[in-house]
Amino acid sequence: MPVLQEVSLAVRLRRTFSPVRLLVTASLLLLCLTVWWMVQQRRQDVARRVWRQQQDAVQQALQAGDLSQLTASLERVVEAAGILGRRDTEALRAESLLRQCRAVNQLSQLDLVSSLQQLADGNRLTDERVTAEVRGLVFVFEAGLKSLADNGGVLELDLPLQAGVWRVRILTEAQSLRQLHSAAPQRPILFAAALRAGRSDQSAGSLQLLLDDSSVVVLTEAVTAGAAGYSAADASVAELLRQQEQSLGLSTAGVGGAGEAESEPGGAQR
Amino acid sequence: MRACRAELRGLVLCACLSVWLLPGSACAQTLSVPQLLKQQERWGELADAGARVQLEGRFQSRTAESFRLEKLELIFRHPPTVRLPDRMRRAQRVEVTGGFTRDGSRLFFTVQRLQVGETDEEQLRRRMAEPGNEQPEKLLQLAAEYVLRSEFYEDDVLRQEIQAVRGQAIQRQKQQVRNDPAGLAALLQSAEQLGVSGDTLGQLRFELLVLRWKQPDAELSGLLEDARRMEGWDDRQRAIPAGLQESFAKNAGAAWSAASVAERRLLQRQLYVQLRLRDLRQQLKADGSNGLELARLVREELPTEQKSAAELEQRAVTWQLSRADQLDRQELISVSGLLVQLERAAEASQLRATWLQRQEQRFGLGTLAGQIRTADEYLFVGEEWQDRDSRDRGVELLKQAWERAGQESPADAEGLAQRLKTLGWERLKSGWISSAEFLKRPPDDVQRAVREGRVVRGMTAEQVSQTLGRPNRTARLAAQRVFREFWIYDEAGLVVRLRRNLQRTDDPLVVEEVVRAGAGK
Repeated sequence: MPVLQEVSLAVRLRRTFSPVRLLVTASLLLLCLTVWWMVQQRRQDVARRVWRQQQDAVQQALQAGDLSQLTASLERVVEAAGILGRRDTEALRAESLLRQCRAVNQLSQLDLVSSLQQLADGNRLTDERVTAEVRGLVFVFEAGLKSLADNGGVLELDLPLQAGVWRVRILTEAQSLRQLHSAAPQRPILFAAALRAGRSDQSAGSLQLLLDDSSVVVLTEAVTAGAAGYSAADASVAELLRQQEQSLGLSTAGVGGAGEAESEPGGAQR
Repeated sequence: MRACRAELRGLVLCACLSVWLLPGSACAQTLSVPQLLKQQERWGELADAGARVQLEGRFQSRTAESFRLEKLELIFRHPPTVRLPDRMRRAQRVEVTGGFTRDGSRLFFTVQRLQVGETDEEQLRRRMAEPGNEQPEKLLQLAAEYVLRSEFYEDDVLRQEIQAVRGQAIQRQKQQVRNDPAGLAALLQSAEQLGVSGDTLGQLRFELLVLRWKQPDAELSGLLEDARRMEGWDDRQRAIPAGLQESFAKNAGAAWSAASVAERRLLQRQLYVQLRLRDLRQQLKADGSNGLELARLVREELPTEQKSAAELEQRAVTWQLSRADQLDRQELISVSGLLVQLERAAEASQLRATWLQRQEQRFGLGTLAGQIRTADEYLFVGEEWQDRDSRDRGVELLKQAWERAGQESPADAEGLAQRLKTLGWERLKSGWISSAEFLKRPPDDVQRAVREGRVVRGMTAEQVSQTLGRPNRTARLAAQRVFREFWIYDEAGLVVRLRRNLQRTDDPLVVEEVVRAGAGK
């Protein structure tokens, strides 16, 4: 039997990475890169076109107050912005607006006041019961904020809510809210947020509801405020929305057009 | 010498008496008691001369052989051959013939012949009845003959008889001047001078007044003045019986003469009433415009003449009705009241309706001021006569004016709302309702709470604002179906929770709950 001679590594490497193979591989790689580049270019072209088109659609939806159309358009705009890698004010505004749309679309069908009242009227209140009742419910709030004396990082909504004998306190540590609060402590803030948990403080006779800070989104558009029941004709609301937009740096006038924005967009996650 | 002188003196006296008495005897002249009394100082001389005297006087009293005459302090002695009738009556006229005689120092009259006649009254009556004396002038002449006797004897009975005769004469004269006021006036004057009885004078005065009253051109002020001199003219309260009134109307003079004293007072009052009525009627203006004033006078002065007062009022009312559109409120009240009094209530209602219609035309409903003014008039009628229809109309006009004022003059609107409230109306969103209906609403009724300045469930945000003002702060909470606002009133310590259902676009924001701030466990 013939005995095969062991081929050396060098020979094997020469055989494996033969010039032809290398050439072919290089050609293939170049081809792939070219294809990928072309695809990327194509995607960006599409994204640019989508951006432009959907920006118009967004404007039309905003003007028409068509929330579903707005949401759909914004999703495409935000996707396009992601493809295009845009982090400018327009992109941030679109993203914020999309989050606002999603938030108001997810507004709770349950009535917080009634739910809490039923809880208060029922058996003994436990943190678990409260949490189970309110967790994940999204509401729009408009209230002033005040820092807790014992914990400056926590803000309490100035919302005189009562559930039976319980005074309801709504607490949050959302960065965006702190930012707005520090900018104008006396001004109420209009925002949407989901509830994360609830706990009762027997000694204080209060029921504390904690906001899911990641869900907090400050409303800046009349259409989203309108979806939450606000009147488009209410000048004070319009003014509040304008101020909030400005404070968050989402106003094109405030930041000088579509330049890059360093500030965190409204409703940014902690 | 002395005896001769006495004889001479007797002869002279006899001659004188003969001159004085004989012609009288020859003419059958009889001395009356007054005439005899005038010669009293010469009675002794007559006795001494044995003169024959014929005397007439009134029998006073008698004894067996003597008698006395009235007003004469002289005893008349008569011999048995001269007899006085047994049944002599006092004051019977006695004609005696005889002479004075002396019985010592006393003088008597010795009767030689005696003739007894009737009394003066009987004589007067008899003579009145004699033919030819029925003429009033004759009667007066006759009465005049007895006047001196009645005065001398102070004979009241004779005086009365004389008055009666004169009265009869006056009555007969009155018949002659029945329809002649001047003649009757002259007769009255004559009667007053004659001193006839008060009755006759009263009758003459009464009849003269009646006669003058019936003259078409009578001067009433003078008549009224005369009437006010009669007794009973101002007796306002006593009503005159129908029978007496009838007699008065038929023949006032006859009625008066047939009436008792009390009835005469009534007749005199009746005459005054008629005079005054005529006077007042003469004062009535042709259009009757002063009828009310005159009727008031009639009611005051002549309370028994209600019918006449009513007639005057009717005239005034007719005049007022003819100018219903010019009446002011006070006149309307007056005329309406009168119409009701006159049992013309339906016309009173008609008058008010016409008046209101006229006011509406006058002020017009085209302007706010006109609407308010017209409403005022309707309300005035509604209040004054408890006329519900007018009141309702007034209120309705006031409501319309309020609506109008809301646009044209908000300040007026406030005042009108206040007036409507005073009239018992409350403004609610759905319209005006009466205060009674308003109070029937439950205490938590929104409209009632708004009016009372309270906040209750169901109120709109606007109503809360109107009631409590704008809140110090607000907060909002929205879910998919429900939108809530929290209105915080720091001073009042209140939190008003408002809710709107987002499922229904036209749902208003209404109060869901009102709680004390800080209330809790």
